[in-house]
Amino acid sequence: MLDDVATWREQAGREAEAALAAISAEEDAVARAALEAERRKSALAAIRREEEERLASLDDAALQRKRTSVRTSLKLDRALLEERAAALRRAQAERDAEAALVLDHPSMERHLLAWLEARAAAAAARETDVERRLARDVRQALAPYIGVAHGPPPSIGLPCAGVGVLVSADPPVGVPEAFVMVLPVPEAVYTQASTRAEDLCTLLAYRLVAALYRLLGELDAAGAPVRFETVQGNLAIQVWLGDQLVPDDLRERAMDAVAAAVDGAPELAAAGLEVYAVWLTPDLLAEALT
Amino acid sequence: MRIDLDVLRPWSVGRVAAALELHPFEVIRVLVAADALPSDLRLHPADVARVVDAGGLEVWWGPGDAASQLPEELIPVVARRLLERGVIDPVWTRSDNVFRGLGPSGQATVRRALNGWIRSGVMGSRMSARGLELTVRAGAVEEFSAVASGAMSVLGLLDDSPLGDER
Repeated sequence: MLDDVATWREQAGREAEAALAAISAEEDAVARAALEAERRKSALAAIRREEEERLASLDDAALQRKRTSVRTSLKLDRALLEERAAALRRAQAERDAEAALVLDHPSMERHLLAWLEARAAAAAARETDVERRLARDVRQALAPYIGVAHGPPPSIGLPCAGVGVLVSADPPVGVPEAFVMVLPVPEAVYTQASTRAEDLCTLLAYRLVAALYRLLGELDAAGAPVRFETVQGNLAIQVWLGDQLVPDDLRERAMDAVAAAVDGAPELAAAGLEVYAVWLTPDLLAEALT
Repeated sequence: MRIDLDVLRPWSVGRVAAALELHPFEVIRVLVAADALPSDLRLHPADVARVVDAGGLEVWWGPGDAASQLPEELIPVVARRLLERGVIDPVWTRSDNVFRGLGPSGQATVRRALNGWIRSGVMGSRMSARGLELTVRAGAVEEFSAVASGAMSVLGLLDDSPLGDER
């Protein structure tokens, strides 16, 4: 009996020790897991801080990207426009040269002189029946060449591309006091108008200036002061509206005015260009281009 | 004979502007105000007269005028012409009418004088759909008469930058 008790004691002791060992192992595992969790928690906290900082800086980064984008777009659009202007000039010169070759014939001199005389008579409003008949005959003879001279510009055959006109008003919401357009054309279109040859850039400027004056007329603000300025070498137009009673839908009207001004423009179609207005807040425009 | 296609071609805005001594953007402004800007931007010799009429353009100086560009001699003539043409409030004229036809030096002198008169309040200026316009204030006719007769010095007018300096 005593031996049984001793055996039981020994076995129970072993079992208890094994249980304690298992508990210790489990405790060690829990401790390791807790340590790992602590490390993980600490790492997550660091990541959280980084993400929170990144989130906080996103607005600034977005604004910086927008500024860069505005500057880059304007630069690229102007380069594209000038490239297409040069291509259109070459195409026009080639077509003119072909037409001039045919015109360069002795018989044409008589027709041309008669046509010029008839045109001068018409301009002086002293046409007679004879002159009118002469003008008709000469027009018929010169019709093919007049067709070239009066026809639309030749297509340069390049794929269609878009260029943007930057438009803004201050304040951006409510009744505006100032209106700005930045055109993707060189300032020389304005500052050297009397010496610089008219090209695609010039014609685009004419259309947009016409759009502006038309818009001001519609707004009953034709007397608003208009200034032509330079922004990074590009032509910019500033209008002071502070003394005018301008409605608060200037943005929509301006976008429509630009779209109408370039709609169906033959030289833009020939150059494969679509022109569209890009509305920017005044602070973005100012920060991007200064 | 080499035939230049340009004689057959419609006039450009720039060509009309050059014929009228205007900036091309002014031609655009006048044609828009008159609702006469062609959609293809191509003009004709007759459009020159249209711009003249619609824009109220006048030529005050011919080739034989203003042999002297000296301010003390030129400005009294300007004052006299303003009065002779009746440019007294409420009658207005385009600012460039006053110096169109003069040489660069004469134009600069007249612009400065106009600017001085506007600053001193004896002349009014306003922007219209046709462009910048000027008038002699009704209360300043006596002063302009004095300038026109040489009884009043004009040199104090020339202290500021010229009117219409675009840059």
